[in-house]
Order: sequence, then C-alpha cells, then structure tokens
Amino acid sequence: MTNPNHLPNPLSSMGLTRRQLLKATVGGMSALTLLSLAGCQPVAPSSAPAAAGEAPAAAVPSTLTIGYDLDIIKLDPGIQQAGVDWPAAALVFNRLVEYDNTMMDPVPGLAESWTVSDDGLTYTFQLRQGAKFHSGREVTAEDVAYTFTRNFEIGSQGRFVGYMLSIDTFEATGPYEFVIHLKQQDVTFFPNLAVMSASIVDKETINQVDTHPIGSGPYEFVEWVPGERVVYRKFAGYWNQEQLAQWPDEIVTIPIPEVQTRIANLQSGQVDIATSIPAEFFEQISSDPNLQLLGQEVSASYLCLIFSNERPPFQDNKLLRQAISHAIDKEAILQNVFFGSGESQCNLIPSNHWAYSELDCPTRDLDEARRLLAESGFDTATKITFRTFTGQQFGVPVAEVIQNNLTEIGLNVEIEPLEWAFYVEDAWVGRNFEMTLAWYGREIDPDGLFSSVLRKDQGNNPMRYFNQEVEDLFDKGKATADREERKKIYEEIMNIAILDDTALVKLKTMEIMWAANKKVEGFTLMPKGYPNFNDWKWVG
Amino acid sequence: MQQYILRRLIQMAFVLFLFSTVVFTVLRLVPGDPVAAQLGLEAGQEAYDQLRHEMGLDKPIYVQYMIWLGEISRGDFGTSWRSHQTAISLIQKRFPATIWLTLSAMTIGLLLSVPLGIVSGVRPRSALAHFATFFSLVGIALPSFWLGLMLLLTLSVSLRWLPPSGYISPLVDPVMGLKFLAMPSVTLGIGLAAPLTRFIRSGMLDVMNADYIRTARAKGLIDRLVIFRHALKNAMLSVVTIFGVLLGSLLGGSIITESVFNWPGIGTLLLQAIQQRDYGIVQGVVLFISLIFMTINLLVDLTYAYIDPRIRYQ
Repeated sequence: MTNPNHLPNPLSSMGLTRRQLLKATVGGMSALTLLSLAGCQPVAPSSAPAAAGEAPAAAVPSTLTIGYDLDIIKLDPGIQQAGVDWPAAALVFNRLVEYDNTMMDPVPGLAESWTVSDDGLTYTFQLRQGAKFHSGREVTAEDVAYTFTRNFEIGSQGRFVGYMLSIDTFEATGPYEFVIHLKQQDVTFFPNLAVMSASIVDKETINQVDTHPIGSGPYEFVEWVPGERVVYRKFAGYWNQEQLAQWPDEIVTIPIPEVQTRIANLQSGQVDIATSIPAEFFEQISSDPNLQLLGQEVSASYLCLIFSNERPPFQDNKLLRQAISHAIDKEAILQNVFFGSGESQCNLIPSNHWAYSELDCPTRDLDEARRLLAESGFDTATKITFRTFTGQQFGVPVAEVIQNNLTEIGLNVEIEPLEWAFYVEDAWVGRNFEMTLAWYGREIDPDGLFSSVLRKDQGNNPMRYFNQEVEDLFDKGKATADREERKKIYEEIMNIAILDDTALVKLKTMEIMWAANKKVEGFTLMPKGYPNFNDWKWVG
Repeated sequence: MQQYILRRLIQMAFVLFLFSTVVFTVLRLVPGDPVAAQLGLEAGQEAYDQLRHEMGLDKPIYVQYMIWLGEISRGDFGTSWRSHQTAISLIQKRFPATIWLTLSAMTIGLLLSVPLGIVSGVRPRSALAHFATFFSLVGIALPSFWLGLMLLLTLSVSLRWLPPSGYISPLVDPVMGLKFLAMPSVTLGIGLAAPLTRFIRSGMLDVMNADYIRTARAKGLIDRLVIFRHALKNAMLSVVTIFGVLLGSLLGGSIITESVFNWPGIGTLLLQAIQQRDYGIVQGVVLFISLIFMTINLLVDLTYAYIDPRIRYQ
C-alpha cells in the first residue's frame, strides 16, 4: 500500500496496516459486546414468553404485576420503615393479627383467637395449629417470642419498639399460647400488632432474612433484582387454602418511577395495578372502561404548613401564625394543585373517621389576617423563608399558592425548594426551617394520627411544638376505651393546638389512589396507603 | 505506537484515580444525607445515629476515604447500602441493556445522519438539504423526554403496537426484544442523528471546496469516488470526535430516555443510586462511566490515525 503523502505510516511500527487494525478493533469490540449481551436476563413485565419448544402447560401460571413508583428498600421486616416494603412484609410473613380495611379492628392472623383480661393489661393469644413457615417447619409461640425479643434488640433502628412502648413482659406459655402483659392500659396497642415490624420471623433462617426472607405468609419470596423486579410465588402449604385459591400463582412488583410510563403500562396491560396515581389522572382512568381507581375507606395522610417554634419569626408569635392561617386559600390549593380531590377542613382527623368532629375552622379572611398581622407586631419588611420539597409534584406549586396568598397581606415570602434527601436531612431532622411543608402519613388511630406530630420532642414534631395541656389530653385519650369519650378528648386537642395555638395549618387530607385493570376485584388501600393483600380476588 | 498506547493507559489510570477522589469528596459534600434518605421522615434521632455508625459515616472523611481506597485496591468498587449487592454485579446486570440501546440508537442515528449529511453537504441547495437542516434543527430542539412520551402515548397506549416499557435481551427473544428496543432507540437515535447530520454536512461543505477535490474532479473521477473516497473520509475527522463523545455518553446511560421507558440500564441505576444517596453504587457507576469515556476517547484518537495518515503517535 502506498502512502499518498509519503509520510511514514504510524501503524506499520506495529506490523499492521490501518485497515487490519480497524478490522481487529471492530472485531474485538463486537466479540466483547456479544459476550456481554449473551449474559442478559429478561426483565419484561409479565410478558416473558415460554421457552421455545416447551410443551404448553395445562394452566399458564397466573401473575399479578404491580407497577410501583419506587423499588423496595429492605426485606427484613424488623428494620423495614417504608410503605414500599409493605408487599414484602405482607405477602411473605404473617403477624399475630392482620389489618382490616380501616386498620382499626384487626382480624385473626397467626393468632386464631385472643382474650383480654378485665383490667385490660393481659392479652392471651391462641395460635392456629398447622401454620407453617415456607421452610416447612410449624410456627409456634416460641417463634412469636423470638420475634418480639429480636425486635426489642433491634431497638430504635426498627419501628417495633416505638409501637410497643406499653409492653411490660411477654412469654410463650405453651406451644400455641402467647401472653403479653402491659404496663398500663393502652387502647392503641392492639391494632399495632399488625404492623410490618410485628411480622413473625423464622429463627432458623434469620441469617438470610435481609436477602431471602422466609415467613409463613401466603407467598414465598423468590427474588429481588434491584431496580427491576421482586417476585413472590404462592406458598402451597399456606394455612388459609380458601383465601389462597382466590389469588394468582405469582405476584411481581416492578419499579416504574415515571408516572406516565406507569399509567401507560397499565393501559396497555403490561401491569395490572399501578400505584400512586396523581389527581390529574383520575378522570382519565375512571373514564376508561377497562380500568378502575383503587382508593381508601379513610385516609391517615395529610398535608400541613408547619412553623418552627425554635426560631423567629414564628417562635412565640401566635398572632402571626393565626394571620397566616386566615390568609391561605385552601380551596385554591385543592382546585389548582390537586384537581379538586380531597378535603381541606382543618381537623387533622378526616371527616369519615369515627373520631372526627366539626371544628370552627379559620376561613380565608384577608381583613382578619391583616388585623392579626398588625397586632402581631411582625415587621413585614422581614423576609420569611419557606422551605419546601421537590420530587413530589405538589411540593413547589402548593408553596407558590401560599406565597401568593401571603403576599396579599403584605408578607415577603421566599420559596426555597429542596431536593427530597436534603429536605429530610436538613429541614426535617436538622429542624432548620422557619416554615415548611410537611406531608404526614400516620396511623389511623387518632393517637397515632397526630400524637407524634403535636407531642413534645417526637419524631414528627420538628416544629418543637409543646403545650402541657395537650400532653395531658393525649395521655388521657390513650387510656380511654370508650370511643365517644375519646372523640371529645381529641376535639379538645384540636381546639387548643390547631385553632388556638396554630401550631400548624392543615392544608388538606391526602388521598392515596392506585389504579388497576379489571383482573383484580375488591382491592382496596388501607388508611396508610398500603394495599390490603388479605381481602381481594384475582379474576384474570 | 505501543508506547503511545501504554502512555495513554498510564494516564488513564492516573486520571481515574484523581477522578475517583473528586467523586468521593463531592458526594460527601453534596447536601442530602444517605441515612435520612434511607430512614425517611418518621425515624427517631437514635435510629439515625445508629445507622450512620453502621454505614461508617460517623468517621472523618479522610478515614472513610482511606477505607474506600483499601476496598478499591482489593477490587471492591462499593456495595449498595440498600440491597447489599456490589456495584460490579449491578453494573454487570445493567450494562447489556445499555449496550443494546446504544447499538440500536447508533444504528438509527447513523442511518439517518450519514445520507442526510452527505447529500446536504454535496448539494446544499437541494430540497433534501433543506429537509436535513430542518430535521437537525427540530431533532436538536426536541427534548427526548417529550419525544419519548409522545411515542409512548401513540404507539403503545393508543395503537397498542409496542409494549410501553420493559426489557428482554434480543438474543433471548428476538421479537419481544426488538419491540422493547424500538421506542427508546428511536428516541435516542433521533437525538443523535440531529447533531451528527449537522457535523457531517458542515464537514462535507468545507471539504467539497478544497483544492484536492477540484483536482480529483479535474482528473475525471466519477462523482461517487470523489465524494466517498476523497471528500467523506476527510470530512469525517470532526465527525469521529463528536461521534466518540456521543457514543461515550450513550454507553454511560441515557438517564432521561431510560427513565421514560423504564429501561434497566446504567442511567437509571445511577439515577436511583443518586436519589437514594447510595454512595457505594454512585461511586462505582461513575468510575465505570469515566472508564468507558476514556477508553472511547483513546479509540477515537487511534481512529484519527486511520482516517488521516498525517497524524502520528510517537
């Protein structure tokens, strides 16, 4: 080969022509590519075809596929914290009792029956015989005792201890009998036996609980491919065969963070359920004859504007907080940001809850707001920083509506949007804010719904709100069994903390909505937004 | 030549080390606590402290750095705090999907841009040239997010021709594999073809006026030979550079397109890891991506020698 420019060919020093080198490079790269491509595994949602040549099975295994907005975080129920982990806990494990749709009146789980002593301090559980772990071993009261001991050892890294503060002692009094003694009467204790962290674990396989958990629930854990899917397979040895017969052979959850993509997957049948549907899609879904919205009987989630009691300008300035509560146009937030879904009344208890009572909520009244503002002595030239979070579609729009409202009464508000992880670290845990948005998803019992929000130094009280009167009322409410009596107590708490002190302004109750095709029947979400895996039917 | 490659490899190792240090430090300076990201809103202070201790985040940064260097020297590029899987195993699982997407997007991009670029460079006043200009303008301006969503809504929701998202290797199931590939690779391919068309066009325009082209024509060479043997090869020098950059960024994962189509590639792996402040995975993936970039850069430089024999590496 002659070189037209009579320059030495740099490649000839390697004994190669340029063409040979290029061929070698391309060939090598192709080979490498093919090698790595050959190693791929299919991750197609529910559409992975049967291997070629396989004889058609008598029945194709049925699969329920759920498109989740997030990947799961933890498999070990002892340290699970987040709602996305609920399917892993609910499907793989049983608890002594299980949630009903309202999360307030538990139904039998591993415990077939139970009795409560007259003083309300001793709970005796009779376990069902023949319930088995996926390893084949029978579940006994010893396993329950082991789970409780383990959870107390895990301590603050899990949620169990926080739920079980009233427990004095517990013991397995027989192979199928488990007894719990309380320190004091606590009406909130019993439903909490159905929480994720109260899942009964298998002592013998505990070393693999965070990678391949073994429980006694209706589905066995098959695999978790992070970011791609989690697969559960029906456990043939499950104690409740009648229920099991109504459910599909497999349940697969796939993380699909992009909401449009999640809904497109539902519409085209790639997934059967899509989680966390924002309000703007409700109409589109309910008008589709093949789809249905899955909602809650009652919601334990609410959105608030909260004020810091540790720094100016809201510290010790109740009138300023009240002025703001009169200036905010909650209806505008409801209509413009949430497309009219939900309710904006000021009680932290939703209106369809047994403990709800109608309060004399502050209405939007700009004159009253200006009067309170003038009386508060706050210098309106001072800038108020309003920290909010991104990542949730409503975080910034809600803040913008409020900013506009407050400008109308002469306040100078600057919005500071924070990325979620930084919001949690700095604004929430670090309590570094003047006012901020707070989205609570709590327990449905009125105590669980807001005691950690309004009680001294609690985790959900970054405002550091404190009022001794409120503390006493919470204690009283927890020790009162009669619902009418309790209702009055919580009404009083609302009157003090929300109407008078204006510790926070509730903006709206947050409904959590999922959507499904018609292959599932009777599927509902519980107050915390978790799906009720106990009470539904597969009709695919 | 060998010496040149060797020198470049040594440089690469050094840059990689520097880069890893920067990534390590920056990650720890970025606001947003991995402990908070894991525990969420409702855990108590005690839980935070305990988890921070378990993750080794209560140690000073330089101690954390030494520990990390030690791990890297043992070939351990980090482990997920969430799933306890290693960065390497996660990359191994995700990379094939990214390679498939890159290959098909590149194919689409080249099939569109090379003919369009050549024609509009050689015949700048033709209708096709005007179309090419229009196409590349629109292609550059179109956000891939929007294009992807539109494809998704029309092709899979309305027409039901293609599955909206998911992945299976075309080697395992060619039909389904290609169906899954179609929309993401068209989305990326158009985004790729647009700038490439412009580069090829301007490269060709420059070259077509050069003396040696006139000489070639004067010698009586037919048009095809003039264009492909003399013009295109010389016009390609700048195109190869931009092609290398685009290829590198594709192999590093296309975060937006992968998110829209839920493509289980490197891009979504990195995005999720960043959102969850999963330092181990972020560090591993970023190192991997920079390694890819540097390798492609080296290959591009070597390709220059093929395209332009005047370039020598000594």
